[in-house]
Amino acid sequence: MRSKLIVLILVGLLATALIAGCGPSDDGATDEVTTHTVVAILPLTGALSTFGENSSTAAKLAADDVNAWLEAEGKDWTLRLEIDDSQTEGPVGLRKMQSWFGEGVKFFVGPQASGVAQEMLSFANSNQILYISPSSTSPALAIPDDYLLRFCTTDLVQGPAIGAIAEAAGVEHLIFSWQIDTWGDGLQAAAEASVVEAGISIYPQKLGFDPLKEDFTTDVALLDGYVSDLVAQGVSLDKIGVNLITFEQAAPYLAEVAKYPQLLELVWIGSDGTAVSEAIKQHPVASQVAADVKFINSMNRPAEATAESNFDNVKNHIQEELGRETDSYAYNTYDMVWAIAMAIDAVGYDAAAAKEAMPGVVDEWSKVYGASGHVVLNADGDRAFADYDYWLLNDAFEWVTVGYFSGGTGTIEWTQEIY
Amino acid sequence: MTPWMSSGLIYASGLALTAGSVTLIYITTRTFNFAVASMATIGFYVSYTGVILYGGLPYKYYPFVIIIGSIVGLICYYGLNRHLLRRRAAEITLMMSTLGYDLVLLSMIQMYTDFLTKTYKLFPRRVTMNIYDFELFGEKAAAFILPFIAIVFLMGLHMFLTKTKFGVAMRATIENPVLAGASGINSDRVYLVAWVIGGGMAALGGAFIAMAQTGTPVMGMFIIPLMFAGAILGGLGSLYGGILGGFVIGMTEYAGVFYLAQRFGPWVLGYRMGIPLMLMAITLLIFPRGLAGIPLVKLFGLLAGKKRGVNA
Repeated sequence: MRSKLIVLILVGLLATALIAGCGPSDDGATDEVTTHTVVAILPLTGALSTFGENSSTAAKLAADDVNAWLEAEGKDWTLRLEIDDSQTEGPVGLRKMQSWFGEGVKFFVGPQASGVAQEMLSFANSNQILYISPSSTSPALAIPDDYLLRFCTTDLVQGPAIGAIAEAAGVEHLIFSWQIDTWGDGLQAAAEASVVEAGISIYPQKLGFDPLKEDFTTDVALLDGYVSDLVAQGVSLDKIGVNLITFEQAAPYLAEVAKYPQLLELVWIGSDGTAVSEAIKQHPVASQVAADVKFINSMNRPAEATAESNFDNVKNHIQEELGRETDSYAYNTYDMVWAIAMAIDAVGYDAAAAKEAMPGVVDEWSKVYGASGHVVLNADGDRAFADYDYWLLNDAFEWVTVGYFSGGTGTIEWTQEIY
Repeated sequence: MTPWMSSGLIYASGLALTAGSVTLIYITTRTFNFAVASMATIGFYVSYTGVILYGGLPYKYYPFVIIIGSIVGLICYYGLNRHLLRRRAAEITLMMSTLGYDLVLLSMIQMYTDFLTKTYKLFPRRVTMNIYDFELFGEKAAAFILPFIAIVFLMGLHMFLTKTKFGVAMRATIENPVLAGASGINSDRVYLVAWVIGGGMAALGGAFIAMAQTGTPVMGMFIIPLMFAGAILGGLGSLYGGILGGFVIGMTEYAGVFYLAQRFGPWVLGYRMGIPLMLMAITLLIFPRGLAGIPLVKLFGLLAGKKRGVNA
């Protein structure tokens, strides 16, 4: 009996050693072709799930394209892309990063939300982990020499885009309603500064809410009270605006708005968190409200498609896979996977070296092939400049652009008159 | 009825059922069932699937919700809880095992939503079920129907526990499992029935909650603190206390937050979940056995006596 036990233990140990020997070493290197792992931590669930689905589909496409390119070029490595879910929650995103880092991964795509990116920052900096966000726009994360790069501009550019819309719509009093987190607070502050500069009054009661909230019965009831207060002061409804800064919770929010007729007479302004939102489009009541009130949303404007750029490649692929129009951050995600691959190809699987090489690498690659256009990073590692498209749901409940805000000139170019 | 009041009634009815489920499973098997979160989410997805694929009102699918929830409860009992109970596992072990089961269920829910997205090009990750409701007296019908269904369900449960032989045996097992076992009551069957009823209640509660709030794959995870708060407020030892506790917690979340935000400003909105939890803490400080421990008869007697005294 005892000898059988010893044999069993020995067989077990041998099997363990064999399995360990067969597995990838370090970040996946084998004797013949090295495999470098990149993990995309994206919000497959939670308040940014539509964006997460779009971006994960774009990332998988990019990984396939990168591997096809590596094979065609006869390179001695391949890219392994893993997708993981941040649940749009900071602690979850950090836990996932820590877990993958434990397996030797040093390059990450995502997260999408600034709140999640902030949660990861300290761990990434202290362990030299390079991560790139397609959509974190909070000015609070514009930090030089950190390990967070962002392929989108910060909200210091989007704030004026919101202010310009409020001014163009003739708003005299603006009420803010936003989700309280790193992203929401940053954008709200940037928008408020810009709106005040335009001479528009800010309603003193501001409706901040928990980013995990899914029911807005109370918030909208209070909003209705604030509007009644302004009307009692002699302000006409068409001079009152609401800036709703949130993610896909906008769908239940707008559905609640439908219960208050006077709220349908206001000017409704959103942000990149709600532009091209599938949650709003798919919601029968919210989509009707969004179309009726011309709920207008600013979002990074991707570059015009060229013959060599990957804009159409990403757009058509997501349309085919998910049956929907994608958002601009999916284009950023596609470029991010390529940028990481090009950096690894240039300096090896070394996050510190890749961070230094990244501005030059991405500049060179993206000006020809970039799906989101030419990516130039500033000293903070964020996209240096961009214009903003204005999106709204038309009467056929399709997201369409009606103009864009030029970040360079600070003016709006309308393609369709709406105010 | 104001919009927050009707949403509050729907939500509180759902929370009452889920808190009742937590209590029922706890008092019978000593297990704090963390899987109640995913059981509730499954309930929502069953009703969503019915409506989206076969049409009609969500209410039509509630029998299926209860059946699927019961099956999920049954699997948890036979797959996990039964073995641990037989080994006389500690309460913490029982609790952690349900947490593991919850994570398995959560993964399956995610897979299912992916399946719906890819196969039917649906948008199942954020669903507002009340758009499939109809209007009754100018309100969403759910505000009347769901509290009614909840009351009927609970009356049925009450009848089962008090009027049937098995129900009486079940209560006896809850009161004194050793004595019940000695008198020939099959405790294994009692535990099984508790899980089956508890699973059904949790799933039905989830389907209710999704009529007030956005249904998502992780909706149960966000609401679970309040489900437990309801059960604890109810005193944990009483099924009816747990149900009442869930209802009180649910209504406080809506009514309390609205009145406080009106009174003190919109900053209160950021602490929405904290307000019912504070109510729970205060109640437990005054009545350590929860709502079930409030000596209502004594209180009413005292009040009546005072009134008579005043009248005299």
